[in-house]
Amino acid sequence: MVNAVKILVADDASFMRTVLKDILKSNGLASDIIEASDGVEAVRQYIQHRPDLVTMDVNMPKADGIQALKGIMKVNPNARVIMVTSVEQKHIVQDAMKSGAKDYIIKPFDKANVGLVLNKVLSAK
Amino acid sequence: MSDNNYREMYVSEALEHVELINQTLLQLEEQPENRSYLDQVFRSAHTIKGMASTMGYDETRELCKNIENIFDNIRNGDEKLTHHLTSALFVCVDLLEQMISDEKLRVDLIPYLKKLENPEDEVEDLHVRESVVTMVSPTIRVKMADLDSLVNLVGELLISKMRLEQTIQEENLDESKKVMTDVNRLISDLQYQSMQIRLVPLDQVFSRFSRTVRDISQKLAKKIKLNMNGSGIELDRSVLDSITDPLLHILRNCVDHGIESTEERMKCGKPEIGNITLTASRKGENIVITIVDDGKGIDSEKVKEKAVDNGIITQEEANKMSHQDAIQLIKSAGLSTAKEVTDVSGRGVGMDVVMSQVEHVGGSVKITSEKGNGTTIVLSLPLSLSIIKGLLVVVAGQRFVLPLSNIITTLKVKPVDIFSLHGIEVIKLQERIIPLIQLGKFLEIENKESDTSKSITIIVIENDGKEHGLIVDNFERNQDIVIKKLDKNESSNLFSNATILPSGQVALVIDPSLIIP
Repeated sequence: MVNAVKILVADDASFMRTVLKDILKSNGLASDIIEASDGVEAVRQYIQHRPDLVTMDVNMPKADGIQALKGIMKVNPNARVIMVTSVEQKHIVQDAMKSGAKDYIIKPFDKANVGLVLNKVLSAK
Repeated sequence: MSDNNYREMYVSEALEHVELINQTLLQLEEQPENRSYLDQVFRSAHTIKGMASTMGYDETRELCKNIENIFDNIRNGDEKLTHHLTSALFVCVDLLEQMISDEKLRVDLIPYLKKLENPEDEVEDLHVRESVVTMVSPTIRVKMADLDSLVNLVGELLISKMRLEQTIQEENLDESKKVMTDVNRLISDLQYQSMQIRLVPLDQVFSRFSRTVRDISQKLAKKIKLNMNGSGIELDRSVLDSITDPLLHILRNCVDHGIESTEERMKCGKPEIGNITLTASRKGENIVITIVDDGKGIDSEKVKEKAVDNGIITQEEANKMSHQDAIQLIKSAGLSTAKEVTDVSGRGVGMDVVMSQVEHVGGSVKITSEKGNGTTIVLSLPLSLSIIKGLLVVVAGQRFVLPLSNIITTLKVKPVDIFSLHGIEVIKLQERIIPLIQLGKFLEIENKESDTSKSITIIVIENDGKEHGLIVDNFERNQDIVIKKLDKNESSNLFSNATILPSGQVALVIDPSLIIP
């Protein structure tokens, strides 16, 4: 178990952000949660708050999750970004991993799986 | 957060996306290859899919997945957004809307999915309903900043209250007065701010109409363009809710009876495509919504004929009636000039229903029309229902509120100025004859005849162009009236609103449309 950290949740649906936020809080993973509702805002929020971890939805307006991921990696090549995707979009995840994403979680969220993935990414050096 | 709260969030956000898909599909009909529109529909379908799968709504997820796939194919050039496909999509989006709103709805998706696959095929069991315009849900999205400033004001008010208590305890009258000025300012800010929160953009409702007009004109094989401009105007949520149906009714009428068929238009030398223009503007304390069509207009002679047939007016009255007055007749109950009942607008309701709904929120309707050149309908609506300017009047020792917007003037007359015409008491006001109503008698709270020795107080009110004088004992002052809606058990035929006066007394609000016959 790692210490609770600052997490940026990027998703265009406030419903999905709330669901994920609730999971992160109940898992005791997040000490502080910042939100972004599009790709551009995600990068901006990353620069402003420098969170320890980002969960990044793939489909977002203005800039999609992949573009935002690349933006964040430019700012900090060591950034921990986890992609949020649906089952059908697994192929996108491979692209994202090449661009520097650390892992992915699948919608609909499985609480235990979210915890596992986040713990894994956070404890990796 | 409880599952119930999740459900609420899901419904409101998913329905927003449904609305967005509807609007974007309409835009795509004009620009079928616009990439950002295609992206938008894809993204909205994808977002709803994600939310539905989180909620465990498998059918909703499945339908969204199919819509998403279609748009992915279109983006990749594997499929084309044809007119038939758009229509099929509209049907599915309607279904989607129902599935989102009604958790218990069970639908066999297969015919719908088949229709999406082969949009040109006639699929049975798939009843293509006309889209139902419903308001999303009785919730309002409030900007965080607006809410913050509201909370801020309440905080300041609390501090001022404590200061006031202290100054009163110290019997420091000067200081108390100063604090009271602050409190006054804070309360009026608070009032403004909370009213602000109730406002929703008119465009939100307007944008839904495009779908309705599209569906009906398609059914009737008419070519119609609906131009809309809400000019960024915002209206109180409750006013907006109550005018959605009337507006829809008017638009249906425009499409069904107003705009001619394409052949007819060509014959008259009019452009092939009919135009309906919906605009809104603000005039003082009112919002004015104008609906203009360039159709065939209203035939005032036909209206008169029908009105005589139905016994609304006599032949004699009809002969004397001006074109403009005759047109206003269509507002009366039981008068529809459309030759036959169609399933588009012939639902047994007419303009009279529109009238009563608009009047119910304190608005008015004005119709002008020129035969052959189209019709203009103007709805005038109050900005808000919750606070109005009103005049306090006294009848038999009781106070009532009259909305200032209906008051023409107040008069004090001598008993000799009142005379009787066909058994009705009237007065003359600038060459106009104004019938009088004894408010006390009318409300059955007073029996005595007015004291003939003293001067009589009359308040001249107007509703739907008709003027009446209300005889009251006295009137007090104009003031802002905070409307409290009476609940069903408390309201009567005459009153549906009340207010609380500074003295703590309750005063009923008189609705002139209910008093004027």
